[in-house]
Amino acid sequence: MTTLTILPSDSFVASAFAELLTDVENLLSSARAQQPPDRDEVKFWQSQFNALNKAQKYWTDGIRPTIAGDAYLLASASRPGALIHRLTRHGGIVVCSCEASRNGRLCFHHMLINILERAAELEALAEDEAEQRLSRRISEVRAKYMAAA
Amino acid sequence: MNELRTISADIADYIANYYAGLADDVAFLDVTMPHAMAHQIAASYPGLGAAFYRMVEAAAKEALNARLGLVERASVELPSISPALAGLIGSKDSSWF
Repeated sequence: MTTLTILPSDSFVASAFAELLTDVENLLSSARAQQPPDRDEVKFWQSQFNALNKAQKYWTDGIRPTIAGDAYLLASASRPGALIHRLTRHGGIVVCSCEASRNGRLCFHHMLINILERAAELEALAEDEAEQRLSRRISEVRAKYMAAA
Repeated sequence: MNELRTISADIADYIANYYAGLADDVAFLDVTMPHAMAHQIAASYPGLGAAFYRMVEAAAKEALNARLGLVERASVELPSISPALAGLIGSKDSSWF
C-alpha cells in the first residue's frame, strides 16, 4: 500500500468502518470471555474500539485528511486550526506525529487512515469486478454477433 | 491485504531504519523507543492485538540492545517474528492484517 492520491468514496469508507467495527467488537468479546483473562488484550481491543468510534464520529462530522505528497495531514481534534498532525507511511507502517501516538496511545488519526486505506482497497476491488463484468458482457455480445453473422 | 512475509519485512525494516537514523551518541537512544515504535506498528495492523504488540516490542528492545552494543548483533534481523506472527494471524478471525 502506498499513500493515497485521492480519498475513497463515502460508501466504501462506510463499508470499511463496518468491517473493522465487526472485527474489533468480536475480538473484544473474545478477549473478555477468555479464561484466564488477558487484561492487555481486553485493554488493547477496548482502545481500538474507542479510537474507531472517534474516527467514525469525526469522519461523519466532515473531518477529512489532506493528502500532501506522501503524507496525510489531519487537524487535531482538541486544538483544531492550531495543531496539524502528519501521518507518514514507512512500508506497511503508518506513523502519526501526534502526542498521544508518540506516547504509546492509540489515536483516532491512525485509525482513520487505516480505514481510508482499506476503503480505497475495497473500492479498487469493486472497480476491478465491474471491469471484469463489462469485459465478460462484451465477449458474450461479440460471440452472439459472430454466431449470427 | 498484507502478506505475512511483507508484514515481517516491513517491521524489520522499520525498526532497523529507526535506530539507524539516530545519532551514534547513545544519549539519543531512549529506552522508551521500543514502546513507542511497537505502538505505531501495532496501530498500523489493527486486527492483531496485544500479543502482536508484545512481540514487536520485544523485537524492538532486542534491536535497541544491539544498537547500544549490549548484545552482539551486526544488524536487525527478526527471525522469530514470522512463525510467531503466522500463529497469531492463524488464531484470529479478521481480514485486517
